[in-house]
This record gives sequence, structure tokens and C-alpha cells, in this order.
Amino acid sequence: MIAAGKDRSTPAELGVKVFNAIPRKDKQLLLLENAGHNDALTTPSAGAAYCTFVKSA
Amino acid sequence: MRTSLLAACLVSSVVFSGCAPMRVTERQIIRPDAPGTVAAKRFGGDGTHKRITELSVAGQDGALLKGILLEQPNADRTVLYFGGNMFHIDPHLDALLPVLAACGTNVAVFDHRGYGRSSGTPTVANMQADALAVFDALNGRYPGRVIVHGQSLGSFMAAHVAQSRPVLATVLETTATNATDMVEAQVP
Repeated sequence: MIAAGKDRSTPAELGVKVFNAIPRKDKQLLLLENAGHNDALTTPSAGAAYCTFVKSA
Repeated sequence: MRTSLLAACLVSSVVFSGCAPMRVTERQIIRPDAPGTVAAKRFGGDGTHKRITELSVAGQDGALLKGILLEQPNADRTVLYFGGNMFHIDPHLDALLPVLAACGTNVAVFDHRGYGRSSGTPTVANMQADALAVFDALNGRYPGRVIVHGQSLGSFMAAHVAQSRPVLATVLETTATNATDMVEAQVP
């Protein structure tokens, strides 16, 4: 789950609600406080975390 | 993965702001191209990755879903990306592909039906069916090695696939519980 702190379209708290509802122990939440709705993946701290998740799946 | 909250997403609903009722419909969330729209710029590869091919998958009712597949050397998994409600391969993939490809995986991206290169008229129901169709096509090529990743509107498609198919993993980016919560969050 990737949520963005400055997302005005789908605020982060909605993503967190979805995250909390997912009944999996191996879930991960990446909360990017300074990202908006459409630039989450390109924020500086996102790329490495995203790749770590994708490669470890 | 069972994400029951997501199963109810994007259904029509009524929310209230002050005294004025506001109806949320699929048309407010799904924004296909106007008839006759021609892309000003066509994605033709990013100049770095050489193994880029065009894909076509048949959707329901004869719609043709068009996508791009990037294959990378030694990749053992494929990310199937579902974009948001404004995403188009042309011209947005130029900027997105390097971000997704940075992990070294294969990457597949399709235009939603009614968007860009894909034909058809989108609804939530047929977009979910399309998502399964493109997943099935990719999973046939890479059995058990497909990760679904959806952003915004695309996250609902990715979640739908994850509930119905054996995905390797799921990434939900800037997602929401349902349309009602989305609108309520934006109304002062």
C-alpha cells in the first residue's frame, strides 16, 4: 500500500483504512508524507522502498 | 487477498454536503476520451529499453485492449500496471516507464477501454473484467509471476484482480475505500 500525505483526491487516511482491512500479515504500508495523488512513486524515498517490495514478492 | 471494502468501491452513492445532496456516478470517476480523440504524441519506447512490444487483449463485447510490454534481461517477474482515470500510454508512459522499470522487472501497461489505444466504452464492471483479461493474458505468459500494481482508479482494478486471481503480489497506490469516502473527504 502506497499512501500520500498531500493527496487531496484519495487522502492517505482512506488508503490506511484499506490497509488495515487487508487480512494479511505480510502487508506493507509506505506512507509518503510529502507526496501528492499523482507523484507518489517519483518522490525521492519511494523508489527504493517500492523496488524492495517488488523484488521480494 | 480479500479486501471486502474495495469490493464495494465505485458504486453509485449519495452523500450530503450541508443541505445539498450530491450524487456520485461512474461518469465522475471514469473519464474516457471523447470520440475522435487523437493522441498528440505516441509512445514509441523510452530510448533506453529495447525489448518493448505492443500487446492486444480481447475484452468483453469485442473491445480491444492495447498495451505495452517491456521485457528486461533476467527479469523473473512482471509488473502489470493499472493507471488512474487520466492515464494514457500516449503520452504518460514516457515518464512512468523508467520509474517502474527501475526495479528490473518486466512491465506491462494497458490503456483502459475507451482510453487512448483501447476501444470500447468503460464501466466499472467491464473495466474489472478487462483487468482480469489482461492479467490472464500475462499470467499465461509468465505463470505465477505477475504483480498487479494500480494507481488511483487503477488500484480498484488491481484489487479486483488480486481478489480473483493468483497474483504474485499487489501494490495499491493512492487508493480509497469507496467513492462515497472519496467525495466526503473532499467536501469541506
